[in-house]
Amino acid sequence: MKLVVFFCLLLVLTTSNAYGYLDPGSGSAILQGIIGALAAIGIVLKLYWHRLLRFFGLRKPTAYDDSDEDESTGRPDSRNP
Amino acid sequence: MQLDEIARLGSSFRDPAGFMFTHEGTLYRQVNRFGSRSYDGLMESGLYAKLCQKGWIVAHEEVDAPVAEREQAHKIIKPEPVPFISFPYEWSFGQLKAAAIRTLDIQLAALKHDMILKDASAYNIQFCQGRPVLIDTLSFDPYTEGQTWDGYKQLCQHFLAPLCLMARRDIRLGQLARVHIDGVPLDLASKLMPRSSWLRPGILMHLHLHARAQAAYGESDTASARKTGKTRPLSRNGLVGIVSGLRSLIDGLDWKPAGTEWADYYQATNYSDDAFTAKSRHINAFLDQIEPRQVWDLGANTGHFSRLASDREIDTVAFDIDPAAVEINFRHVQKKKEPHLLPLVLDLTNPSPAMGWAGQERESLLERGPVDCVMALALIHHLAISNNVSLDRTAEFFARACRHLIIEFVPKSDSQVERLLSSRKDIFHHYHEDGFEKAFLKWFDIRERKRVEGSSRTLYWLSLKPS
Repeated sequence: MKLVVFFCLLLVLTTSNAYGYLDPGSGSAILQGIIGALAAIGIVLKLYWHRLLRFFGLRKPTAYDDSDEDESTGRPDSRNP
Repeated sequence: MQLDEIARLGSSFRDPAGFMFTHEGTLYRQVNRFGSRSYDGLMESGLYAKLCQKGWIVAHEEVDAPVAEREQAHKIIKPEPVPFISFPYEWSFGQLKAAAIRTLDIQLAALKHDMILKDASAYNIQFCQGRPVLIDTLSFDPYTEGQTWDGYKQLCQHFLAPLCLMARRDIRLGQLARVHIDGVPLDLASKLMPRSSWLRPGILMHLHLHARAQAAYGESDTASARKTGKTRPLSRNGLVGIVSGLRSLIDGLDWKPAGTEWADYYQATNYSDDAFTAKSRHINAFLDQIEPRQVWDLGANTGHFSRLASDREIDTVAFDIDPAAVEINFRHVQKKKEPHLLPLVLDLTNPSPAMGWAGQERESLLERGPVDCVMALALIHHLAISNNVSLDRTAEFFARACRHLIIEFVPKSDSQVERLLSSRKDIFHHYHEDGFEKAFLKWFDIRERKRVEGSSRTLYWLSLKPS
């Protein structure tokens, strides 16, 4: 239980950006939370959709999927964990 | 080091992470202790190397001196100079779009290195070598999972709103950026957009609903604070989704330069091919002798004559009033990867003023000069006859703008001037070659005078008189 409370606190504390000099705007920040949740679901669905297509051999893995040149994932490079 | 030798830039004060200053004509950036995590994060995460390799960020070197404010200083860096500082209200549609996409691509690259672009100001982008480049080295923070993007609102105001308005309402609405220095307010953009834009999910979310969210939480001027809301954590996937979504939305916006004032100019003038060739030959001969380091071509249209300078690797800015001509010019620059030509939108009868806090944040056109050489080809009749500026005042303006002037005098017998005079009374009794020379001789020496064969025009090379 303590652990759960700790992680909840951590999540709350880390949502604010301690270094920012801009006023992000409360409306803009709240909207990001909503759009972000929708976008995250979209990204996961897209990922599974592509995996499904690959599983059935309908789509070959391309260099684009996890190329270093591809910035579209915005995730740390998974090939060099 | 005397403090009075160090001049802080008027535009560099918002972010306590650091500031820009000049010392003996060289530009530096002080990274404050406050910004040490931002700067060190950028350098140590590999992000800086990555962005440099792609040419997306201005390169810099760390130097020991000069230090502007020692008690706050973490590092001093010397960025590579930008040939000409331009502002978003001077960019064509394509330039603003390219700058937006570059900002979003940098954000996606930053997230890969566990950093985040903390702002999204269009003023942080400059065009170097024909490409948009981030010039604010201190725009990054370490990324923490769950945080929202502080620059989201700024991105929508600085880029998305003006681009949507230009693409879907009227290209001239790009000039709203000149009134609203922190970007077009979203409630204003939402009101001005056509109703059909509500059917586009991206525009609906990031512009219309964004404006309403701001109103609901008391951010816009017209709304009272009605609600207080709690920001929910934003996952990395969610943030990437927002950034990628904005990127594809902006990438899908398009504007085609058609039906322009100048589109058929070269066909419509009374220039024969011979006159065109002669004009180019004379300009080339003048440039050979002037050897300028930088040229401003005022009234450049799509940049045909600007390229006489930029093709010699002279940094050349091609200004024109017509956003379509500038757009065509910029697309050409992109297609041919021309590194020395920067097309910009400018109404010379109302040039970019000094703007922002204390009128010192964004420099006026003249404050960004004087330049080695101005070219003013087929321009004088527009200033003198369309805008009623006397030749004396025109000469005085050019004397403040440049050291050498390549200027074309277009007499009343020219068909272009006849056209301008066709709908109005000719009150321009001093508008003739002698009147022109008399006005300009007050400020300039005539170095050479060439008739443009095959036309009634004259090309001058003038040099500013020693003061």
